[in-house]
Amino acid sequence: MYIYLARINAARKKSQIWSQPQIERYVDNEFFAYSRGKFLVCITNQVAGTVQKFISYHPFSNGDVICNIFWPDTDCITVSGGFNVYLLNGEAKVYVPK
Amino acid sequence: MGFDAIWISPIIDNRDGGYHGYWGRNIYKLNDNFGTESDFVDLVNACHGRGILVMVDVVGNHMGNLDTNFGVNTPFNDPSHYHDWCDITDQDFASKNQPRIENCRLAQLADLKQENDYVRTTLLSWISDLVSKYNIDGIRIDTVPEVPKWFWSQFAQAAGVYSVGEVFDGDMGYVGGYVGPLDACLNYPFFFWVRDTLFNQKDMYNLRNYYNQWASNLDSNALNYMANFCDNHDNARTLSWGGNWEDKKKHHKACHVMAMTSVGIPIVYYGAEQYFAGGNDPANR
Repeated sequence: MYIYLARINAARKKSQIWSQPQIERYVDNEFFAYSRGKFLVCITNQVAGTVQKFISYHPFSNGDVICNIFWPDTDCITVSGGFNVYLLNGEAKVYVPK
Repeated sequence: MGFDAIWISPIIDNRDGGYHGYWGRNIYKLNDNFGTESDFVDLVNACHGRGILVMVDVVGNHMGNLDTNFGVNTPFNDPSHYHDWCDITDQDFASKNQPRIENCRLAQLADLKQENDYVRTTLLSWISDLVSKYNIDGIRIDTVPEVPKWFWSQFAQAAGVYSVGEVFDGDMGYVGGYVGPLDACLNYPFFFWVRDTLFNQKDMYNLRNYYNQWASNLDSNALNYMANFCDNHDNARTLSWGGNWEDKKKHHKACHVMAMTSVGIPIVYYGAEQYFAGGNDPANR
């Protein structure tokens, strides 16, 4: 958890999210996503299994490579239109440009 | 962990047993249990040297005694400095009975009479001097609804630094009413709403509703200064709730992701980073 908080702090500072408006990007009964500039937060209330959502309304551009700050070397997506977000076993993700 | 500000307990002398700092006895003396004036100066300087701001918890509502022996307090040592004794009840809080909330005792603590000119001007001078003497960067103000708003406007102005108040209530209209007199409040609506949605696995549309309701109660710029949190010293830590430990840790993480990335200023309570799971006060401290 110590490292987890450190990663969030580092990312919020790097992206300076406090200067960016918060925009809702997706919501349903088990998933919520919002952005602060090119900083996408994905949360679920589930604790088991996979929550998969197709995000078509997002702040990134085609060709952007975005990575989850908690697994920045292995959990990356090349944006082409929309993209799928998979949350495994209750995890949260924050995607930022690589 | 990359934090760039710390919030510390009230620093003034407390009556015996006031380890937490909220039972003030002498507002001009530092709490011996925490160290000397020189120690505090060193702490602030050390923090500033590392780019870390220091926010001090302050109390303007009450002194620490539970009786009418006001002579033990400095400088508020006269009965005229206090409201006549009555006790705030749960019903008073539930009905938001402000005359009683503002003029009666919280937990039997001696309730300062801010409308007394000596009390008012002394508290204003004290906070101004405290901030300037120790180079403090912000104040967290205790028990805000227990004092009239007009006083907090003067108090925050005298402090001249970021002020964030404790309004222990989930009602956005009620909490938001103290933004203006103060720069911001602890975001108790976030605390109640987001925690409940995540830990009790309620419909995530609740989160949309949460933001929409804030938008109808507070302008978007003011919301930037509200202080988001998932745990604090006045509530049982969420990890003490019932349920599967591994599942609770997942919700704990998600809550902190929201607190630290959602609009507002995040506050992380010490121990959250180590999964502390203490229940009600004092186990949560």
